[in-house]
Order: sequence, then structure tokens, then C-alpha cells
Amino acid sequence: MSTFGAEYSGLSYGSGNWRVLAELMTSTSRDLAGQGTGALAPSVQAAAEAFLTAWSGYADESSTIAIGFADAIDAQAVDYSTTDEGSGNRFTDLDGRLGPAR
Amino acid sequence: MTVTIDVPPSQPAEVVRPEGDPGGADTLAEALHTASGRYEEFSDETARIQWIGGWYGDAADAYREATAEAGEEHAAMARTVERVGRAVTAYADTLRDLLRTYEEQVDRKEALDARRSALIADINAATEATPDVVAALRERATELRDDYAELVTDHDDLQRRVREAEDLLRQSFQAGTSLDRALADDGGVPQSAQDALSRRGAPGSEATPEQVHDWWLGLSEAEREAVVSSYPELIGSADGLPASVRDDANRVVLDDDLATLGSKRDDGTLSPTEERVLANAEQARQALEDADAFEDPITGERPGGLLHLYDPGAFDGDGRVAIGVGDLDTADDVAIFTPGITTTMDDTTSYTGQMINLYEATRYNGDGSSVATLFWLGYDAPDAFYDPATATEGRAEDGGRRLADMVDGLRASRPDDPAHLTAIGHSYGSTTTSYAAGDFDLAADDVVLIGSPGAGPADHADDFSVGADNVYVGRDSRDIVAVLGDEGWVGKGPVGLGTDPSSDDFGATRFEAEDVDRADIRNWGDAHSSYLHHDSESLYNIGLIVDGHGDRVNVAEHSYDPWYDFARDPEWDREPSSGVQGESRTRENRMVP
Repeated sequence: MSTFGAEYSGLSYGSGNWRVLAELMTSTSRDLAGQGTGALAPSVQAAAEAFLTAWSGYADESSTIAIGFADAIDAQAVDYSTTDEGSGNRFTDLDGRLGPAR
Repeated sequence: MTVTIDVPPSQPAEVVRPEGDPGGADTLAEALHTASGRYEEFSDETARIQWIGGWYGDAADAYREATAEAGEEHAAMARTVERVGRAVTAYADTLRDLLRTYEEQVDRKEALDARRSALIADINAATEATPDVVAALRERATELRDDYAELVTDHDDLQRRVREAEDLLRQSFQAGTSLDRALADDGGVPQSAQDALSRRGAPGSEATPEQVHDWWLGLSEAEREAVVSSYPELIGSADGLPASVRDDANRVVLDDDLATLGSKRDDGTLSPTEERVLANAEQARQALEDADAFEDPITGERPGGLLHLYDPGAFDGDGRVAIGVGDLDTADDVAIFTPGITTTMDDTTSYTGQMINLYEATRYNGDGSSVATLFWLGYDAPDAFYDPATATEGRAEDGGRRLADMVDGLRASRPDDPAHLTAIGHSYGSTTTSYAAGDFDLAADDVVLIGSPGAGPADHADDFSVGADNVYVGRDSRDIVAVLGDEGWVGKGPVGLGTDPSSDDFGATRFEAEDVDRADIRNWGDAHSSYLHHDSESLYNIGLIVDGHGDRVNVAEHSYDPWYDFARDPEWDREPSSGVQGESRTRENRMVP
């Protein structure tokens, strides 16, 4: 890689959106888990319950995925920030002056 | 002497009620549609935040790759849960039908049991068993046995349909439960539906309407239910299928849209495009409610509404829709109305109201034949008078092809019971209808052009597939759009869209169509938009044509163009009427004697 860079505000925006998605999918998981199947004929209920249980789990997993993305972006922002700060210190310690002032 | 009269037992022992609650099933479907909307939002949002401004490098590349993968998988999940949601919606609709049938059978059994009790009482009361009395009692017993047997057969059929509906829903759930199935292209689609759709003649396989019709006839009832719930968009727009089937399928999609987009609106995640689709869906729902609630003026019964076409995102959000009043599958007389410029799905309720007017007028002045009227917005009507598409005939030509195809589909769906079919075009829609009849062999019996800016490719009514004797024209003399067509030897240049069909040279039958409230000058207000208003000359005459009695319209003189002056319209000075029997009355009207 010859070039790289980041803007903190962009990373923050992306991370925030992932966390909103995570909340949406958590809510979806809860909704699906709370659905009853009593309105369906008994011969269908077991299949419906299996479906809802599975999909509640999938929605939970989606929430986890979204949080994973948000955390990774946040970590990336911290890494950039830490690296940039450390690098800054290195350059601050350099003395580029000539002569007696050095 | 002992006489034996064999009284049949009460059968079936019990009319078994289908289990389940349609309202509760609808609630479950809504939850699945909401979940579908959220998976869709997840997928859409990943596309939006795939590119984070100012971030580049290895990490950013890896992030984008992972994001894209998540987006694709969540899009697949959205489609699968949507399909299962639609299956639940279809199950709820089917369950409602089954419960209605169950109630009817309960009533029938009660009536039969009452007859049986009465028969037993009469047998016990008979003191003098003459041959005539015995024969009469035996005949009643025989009839009762036959009626019980019929009920048993119908009850068996009901129970079979219940089992099939339950099997189908169970298979739909199972086809979308495992993660592999949830992510599959056909997740949530039962095998029976996939098998049915892979057969020769299925919709979407470039089959003709006749082949699609034959394909449908070859499916079992269970397979039909399966394809309607699994492929409702495909079935809902398939020419050649019964209108009732298309209606079932389109209502499944409509319910899905209302639930999915409604929940996205609640979540605050509705995009501007989706907002327009939702508005179109809400128009369709309201129009259907109006059509479903309408009562026939003669019988007082509700002929019912039909969602014959539903594609709310088509044509950049203008939408495609067709809403019927009455039973297109059985009506003796069918009218198809094509609207003109500026028409979008925003106008669906208004035009459905006009279809109700047309139905009512046709029945009120009719010969007792059954009627169905259809508002058809199946083409991309130009957006405005200043839309360049208005001044050209490209949209009309495309629409004419689509209209002719749709009519071919209707014809194919009723091969042994053809309706008397009238195609009505208004404004730019009359040019569209002219293309259908002039260039695409429209399979109608009669054509009616109202407020026409020109007959497109036809110079003479003879150019239409229905023949000149079956072409009718209504023009209000104050309608400024209806004088744009070419007339006389000079013509009017590029302003019109072909020959003025009300002119004497065109050779159609012109009927009286003056608005009683007409202005002194030409305009495109009421003069252009009141052709289907109640108690108007126009609606009266169009109703007669739809009813198959075009020979009874009140004929108006053609406009003509004297070589030395501008075109003349003899209707300009005639005094119009409103609500007059035999001229303009179209319904029971308490205001008019």
C-alpha cells in the first residue's frame, strides 16, 4: 500500500451508523422472539416456531456483526490517533535547528 | 302392512371448523414484513457506509470487502423473510375463504337437519299410508340423502383444502428456516411452487397468454396456492390467468408493501423513492376498499373489486395499476378504460370512482347483463401538457401494445365464455387505444374514444380492428383537447395526435356528450374531464355501448371542415341535458323527476 489516510469525522459517522443498525436488528430479534404462533393451525405451529426461533437468532447475529463493524472502525480510529500522536512526539523530539541554537 | 321409509342419517357427523385465526396470522405476517424491511435497511445502509469519506488504505479496502459481503447476505435474508411473510399473508386470505365456506356448510347442515326432523315428524304423523303419501315421503328422503351426500363431498373438499393450505405454509416456513435456505435465492419457496413454475407454459417463460392459461389449468389446487403465495408478483401480472387469481396475488404484494414500508416509515428509514411507492400502495388500498364496498344498483349486492395489476414502483414512481369493479372472469360486458396524460397512481381512487359510475350507468340503463369495468394504467402516460412526450406518440404506441397484450390475456383467460368487451380511451389514452386497435389488433368488440386529441395511426375508423361500425366517439364541443386532431384538407399542423375522430371524414359514430354546465369558451377543465360524470349525456351513451347496445346511442352530428373556413361543430349550439331519461339519466336520481 502506497497511500493511506483517514478523517476522524468519517470514521465516527460510519461507526455511529453501524450501531444504529445493531439496535435495529436487536429490536428485530426481540420482535420475532415475541411472536406467537397460536393463530396458525396446530399442524403449522412447530414449523413456525422453529422459523421464528432461528430468525430471532439470525437477527441477533446481525446485531453482533454490526457492533463488530462499529468496534473495528472505532479501534481503527484509536489506532490512527495513537499512531499519529506517537509519531508526532517523535517529530517533536527532533531538533532541526543549526548551530548554537541546537 | 308395514311401510319402510329409509331416512338418511345426518351427515357429516360434524362440520369441522378450520383451525387458526386469520387476523392473528395477519399480525404474524406484518411482523415478518417488518423484519424484511429491517434486513433490507441493513443491506441498503451497508451500501451507503461502504465508502467512508477520507478513509483509504489496506484497512479501508478490507472494511469495504467485508461490508459488501454483509450487504449481499442481508439482502438475501430480506427476500427470504419477505417470501415467508407473503406466504403467511396468503394463508390468512385462504383461511378467511375457508372459514366462510365452513360457515356456509354449517348453515347447510342445519337446514338439512331441520328437513330431516320434519320428515321424521311427518312419517310418524302419517296415519293413512296411501301409495301417494308413501311416494311423497320416499321422494323427500331421497332428496335429503342426495343433499347430505353433496354436503359430505363439499365437506371433504373443504378439509382437503384446509390440509393443503396448512401443508403449504408449513413448507414455506421450513424452506426458509436453516441458514443455508435463508441465504438461498429461493429461500422460503416450497418445492411444490418451484416445480410448478418450472413446467412448460409458466408465466415468465415467454409463454403466450393461451399457454399460461393451459399451464394454470394443469396445476392442482395445492400447486396453485403455492405459486400464488410464492411468486405473487409474477402471478399478479401474468396475462392469461383468471382475474380472480391475479387479484389474490396482487393483494398479497399490496399487503406486503403496506406492512414493510409502513414499518420502515415508523422506523424513520423510508427513502424518498419508497415514500412514493408507499403512497401509491395506499392509493391502491383505498381504491380497492371503495370498489369492494360498492353495491350494484339493481341487485344491491357487492360485485367486488379486483386488483388486476399492481406495480407501484414502475415508471420512475408513477406506478402501474389496474383496478376493476365487478367480476372480470364472468361478466357478460367488460369495459377497459385507459386514461390520458398526467395520470399516475395518485389518481387511482378518482378513476376507480369513475369506473363505479360506469358500472352503475351500464347496469341502470342495461338489459340485465352482468358488467365489469376496469381502470387500466398499464402504460407510462406523459407527465404534463408541456412534457415533450405529450406531443409525440411514442408513449401511446407503447401503451397500445401493452393494452392489446392485456386484452389478449383477458380473452385467453376466458376461451369458452368470451365477454362483450369495450375499450374506452380518454384524452391521450384515446390515442393509446387507437394504437392498440389500429396497429396491434386489439381484441375488443367496441372502441370508444372520448376527449380525443387524435386517433394516432388511424386515418379512418375502418383502420381499427373492431371495424368502423364499432367505433364510437364522444366530444364535448367545449373540450379544447378534443379539437386538436387533424380535420379537413388543411389540417392543424403538429398540435394533434392524428385525425380528429369526431370529424365526418373519420367515419365513427359520434354520440352526444355535451356537459350541461359547459362554458362559453373551449377549456380543459370540466369540458375535458366530465365524460364519466353521472347524469351526463356522455356516460349515458357510453353505458349503452358497454352494455352491447351501441345502436341505441343518441347520435350527434360530426364536426366538419368547410374548405373556406375553420372546422364547425354542430353540437356547439345544441342544448345539452342532464338526468333526462333516455338522454342522460344514469342512476336513480331523486333530484330529477
